[in-house]
Amino acid sequence: MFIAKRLISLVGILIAMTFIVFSLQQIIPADPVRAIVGMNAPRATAEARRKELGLDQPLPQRYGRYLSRLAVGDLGVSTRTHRPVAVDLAHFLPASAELMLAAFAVGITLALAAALPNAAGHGGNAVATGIIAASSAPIFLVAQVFALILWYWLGWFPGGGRLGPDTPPPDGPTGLFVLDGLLNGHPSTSIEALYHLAIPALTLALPVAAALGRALTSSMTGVLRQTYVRTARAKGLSEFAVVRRHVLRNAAPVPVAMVGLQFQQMFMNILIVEGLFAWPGVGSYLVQAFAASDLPAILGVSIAFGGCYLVLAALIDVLQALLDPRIEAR
Amino acid sequence: MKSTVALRAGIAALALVAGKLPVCAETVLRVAYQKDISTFDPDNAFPLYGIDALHVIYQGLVQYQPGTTELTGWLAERWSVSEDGLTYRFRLHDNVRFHDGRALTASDVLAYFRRRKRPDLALSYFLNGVADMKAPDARTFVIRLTAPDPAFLDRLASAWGPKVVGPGALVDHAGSDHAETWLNEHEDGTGPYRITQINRGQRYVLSRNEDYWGKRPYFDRIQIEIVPQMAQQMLMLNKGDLDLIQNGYPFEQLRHLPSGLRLLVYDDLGLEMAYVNRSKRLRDPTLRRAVLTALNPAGWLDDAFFGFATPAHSLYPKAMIAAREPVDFPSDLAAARAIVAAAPPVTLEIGYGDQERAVQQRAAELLASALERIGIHATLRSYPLDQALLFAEDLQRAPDLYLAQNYPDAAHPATQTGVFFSSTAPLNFFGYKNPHIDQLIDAADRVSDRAERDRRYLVISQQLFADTAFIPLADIRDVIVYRQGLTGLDPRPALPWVVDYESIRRE
Amino acid sequence: MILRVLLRTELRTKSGALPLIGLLFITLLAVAGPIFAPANPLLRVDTPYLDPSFQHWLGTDEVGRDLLSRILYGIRLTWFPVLAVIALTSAIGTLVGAVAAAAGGLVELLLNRFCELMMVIPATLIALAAVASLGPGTWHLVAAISVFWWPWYARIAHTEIRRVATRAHVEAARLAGVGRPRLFLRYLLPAALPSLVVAASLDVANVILVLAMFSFLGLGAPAPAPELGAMTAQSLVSLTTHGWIPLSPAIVIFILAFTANLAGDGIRQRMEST
Repeated sequence: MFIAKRLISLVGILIAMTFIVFSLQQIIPADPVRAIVGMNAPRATAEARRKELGLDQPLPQRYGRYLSRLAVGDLGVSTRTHRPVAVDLAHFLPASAELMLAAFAVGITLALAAALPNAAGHGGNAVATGIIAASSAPIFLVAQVFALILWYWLGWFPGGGRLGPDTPPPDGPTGLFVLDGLLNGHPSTSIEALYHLAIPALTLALPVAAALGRALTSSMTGVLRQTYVRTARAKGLSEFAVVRRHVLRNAAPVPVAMVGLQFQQMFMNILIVEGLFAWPGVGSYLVQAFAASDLPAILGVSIAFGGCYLVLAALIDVLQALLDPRIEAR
Repeated sequence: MKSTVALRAGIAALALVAGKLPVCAETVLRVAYQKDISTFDPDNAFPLYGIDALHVIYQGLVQYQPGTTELTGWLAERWSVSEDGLTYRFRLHDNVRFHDGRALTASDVLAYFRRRKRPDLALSYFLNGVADMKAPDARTFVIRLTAPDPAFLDRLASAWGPKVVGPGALVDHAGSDHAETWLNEHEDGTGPYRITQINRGQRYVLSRNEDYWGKRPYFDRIQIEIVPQMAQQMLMLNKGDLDLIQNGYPFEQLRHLPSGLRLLVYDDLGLEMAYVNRSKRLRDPTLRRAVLTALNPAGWLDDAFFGFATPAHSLYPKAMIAAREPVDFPSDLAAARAIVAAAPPVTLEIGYGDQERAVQQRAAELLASALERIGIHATLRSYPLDQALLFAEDLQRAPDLYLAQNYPDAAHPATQTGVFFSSTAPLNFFGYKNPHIDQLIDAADRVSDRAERDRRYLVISQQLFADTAFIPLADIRDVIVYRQGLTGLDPRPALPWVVDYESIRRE
Repeated sequence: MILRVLLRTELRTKSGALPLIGLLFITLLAVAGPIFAPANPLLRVDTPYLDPSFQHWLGTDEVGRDLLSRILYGIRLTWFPVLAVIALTSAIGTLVGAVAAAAGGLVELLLNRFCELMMVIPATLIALAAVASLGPGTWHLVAAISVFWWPWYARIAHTEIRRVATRAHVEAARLAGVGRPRLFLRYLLPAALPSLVVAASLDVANVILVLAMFSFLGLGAPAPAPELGAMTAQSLVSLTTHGWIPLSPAIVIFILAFTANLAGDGIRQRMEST
């Protein structure tokens, strides 16, 4: 019942979101036709194109057409790349996905490594302060420092791109080079992709690790004080069992909600990190779309991401309801 | 168990090492763009990024000679113009081949030019003055114009001019849109390089065409990376991951070049101009002249461009028309201050274009400081070019001044007036309309004699300046920073940001 | 009342006091710093790229402006907008969340979904659209950020109030006949306040960083305004030759955020131990 209600509202919000995003076009004072025909083209050419694309129609009509195309998965054609936006997204998304996955993996590991011993009483203030410092650093500072040290001075890792200049990208099915390299029998490609992932993923992982680490330490210490944990300890359960059984279970809801917040945050971070490391992902695509006033691409990316986030939020809600029986779904 | 693990680890390590070893004696040139290429279709590609690639993949009938605005043959061995200036005959080379091996004939050229004329292609307007075209024999191509156009050959030689695409695209892959979709990411040209790898947003690789009909270029491969951050490009150049940076190297850093890097400075056709919105706060001509005193480039040019710009001599880039004297700006700051003090207080909005945004921003900042000195407060705002095109629709919302560096289509002044100054010009941002100027432009466009034509165009420039409609500010020089040992870069004024990959080589 | 207790316990300990004093100092800098700035931050005053000297404590930047003056103005350009965003969003968010939780039923459902809608629209899109239409500017950015920032507070208020509503003592009060408005004001809302205060104090650092990020992307006040993020972005090309020029503004942002985070964390610890 709860799930059904949730799904209905999900669809409702999705449609509302598409309308808002679509209407934002009106505010952005860019001429989509000029993006197609170029600046030096005579006015007649531009006007003819405008009529042809139906861009002189009023907003509700244009929205209706857009929605009907959206329903079949047609996100329009990018005026910059001249390809369907859906194709562009399919091309650029795996790069961002690989980066985000790597960042989350590293970030969660770092967070657990820092938070678990800290909650149990080891490490003390130093670790906690370190986590706080890590979450206070602006992402562009972190990126530049890592790039300077790990690439420019020490030369341990490459400073940009997904693969070295002499390595062709694997033909693989997923678009995740680490995976595709293995699937296509080129393990060296996978290793090279890992090397190229290192600095950008580390940069993105830091805010994730810091936020999760703080959430985990705070919710874990909060929980650790509660009665039943004391009881469990009194019963003689080992430290590890206490942490695992009671603490994580009850501390989980807060970080779970945090993951959702992290998603939005990461989207913003990715714009910067992809730009700084020449990473050809959705962030770069969006930045270039804005620079070129490529409205179909801007809309397409925003709606795609908004949609993803909505689904994720709905999932988290369901998960949270399952984990905390006290919050009853009305 | 253990031995197989060790074996696999060993193989992986070997593969890794092998992958990292340079292939024997392959010569690669590494360059980078800040923005992605939009399309490889020469009839749709109007942005500035990618011209260097298109220049070596496709070829037109005529081209500019390196370092000049003089024309020379390309696919055409020679050409002739009829007495009445209406008919152009081109004699084509006889050994040209397309990348798929087919020989080039005049009928291929005709088919391509017909395609270029299609109105749904962005660059079709280049052939607007063409009445009809013929291919009387396999090596002759004839174009007849509706009216004489002394700029026609320049249009053909333009960076965005017609470049012959072969039947491998136009016939074999025509599809339903005359190969427009296919040519986004494929090519069928005649040039010394072909595209061998397209990785959108990341990298493009051009490989040498081994069957090229002309002189064999030096490099096996040209590798183009997309690196949006200039800071990153600079670091890569220092480390040796890049061989050159064609444009965008910050001027303030040019005096601190690390060892091993060299500079090549040249003039291009981009003129830094200020457009004046005469319908808003600058309605009063006396106030406009006072503003001109602050706009005088002598006061701020060096601060903005660190010596890499010279004051403009006219509303045409120096490479196009070399006027002898600099523009005569009023220089009496005290008088200007008096005028401003006498008028009601005014705050001006200065817009600036986003072509090389950092440079425009700097110029706008300095202009604002200069205006402060005569008592006018100024605010700044960046306007991408396509937003600037909407200025004329609502002059009250548009800024008072707009700074931009824009490029004409080619080296002939007609392309400058036609793009910026005439009443119907697409980049006439504030919609300045003056029938007298239009008449002058029309008359000048018809003149073939170079000296007479230049004189007439300069008259137009002086009148526009006297009317404070368009203010010529500076010729900003282009700088290529490259690793020492490279030579033959051969830039051309009419081809902005283009290094000639056909002639570049390592010593 | 809570705040008074909070501050007293907080100031008693050294670890709690230090960050708060730091915040006070920052506020002082934001208000008074520019008055003591040695030079006009917008104009070129000397040769570019000068090393730190007695005349210019941090040297000059790539245009020839005094870096110290720019940073002092930059702190103000960061601090005031941050406080504005926090004040605005926490107020709006609390109101919406509390109303949703208290009203229940359809109102709650609609408000919840509205929250979700606002959280879903990609933040960057809103900021970019706002800047594209209104023009760049710090306060335009504040408005844009506030639009997508308040739902977080609404959620917290909503969750906390609902959690408290199921607690035993609230049930008891309700059964004893306490009226709904009184129930709301005396039981539910005060119970949500601690979390909100903690959230707001932890949020200061986040807003600092988000503002810095958008400024770095060029969405803040246009040049030559000395916004810290924009300063880093514009001088990034000087990183290897004159590294302190792009790094100083970034480090200042870090110090601001770090201080705010420590203060917020101290407040959270106090709250949790009560």
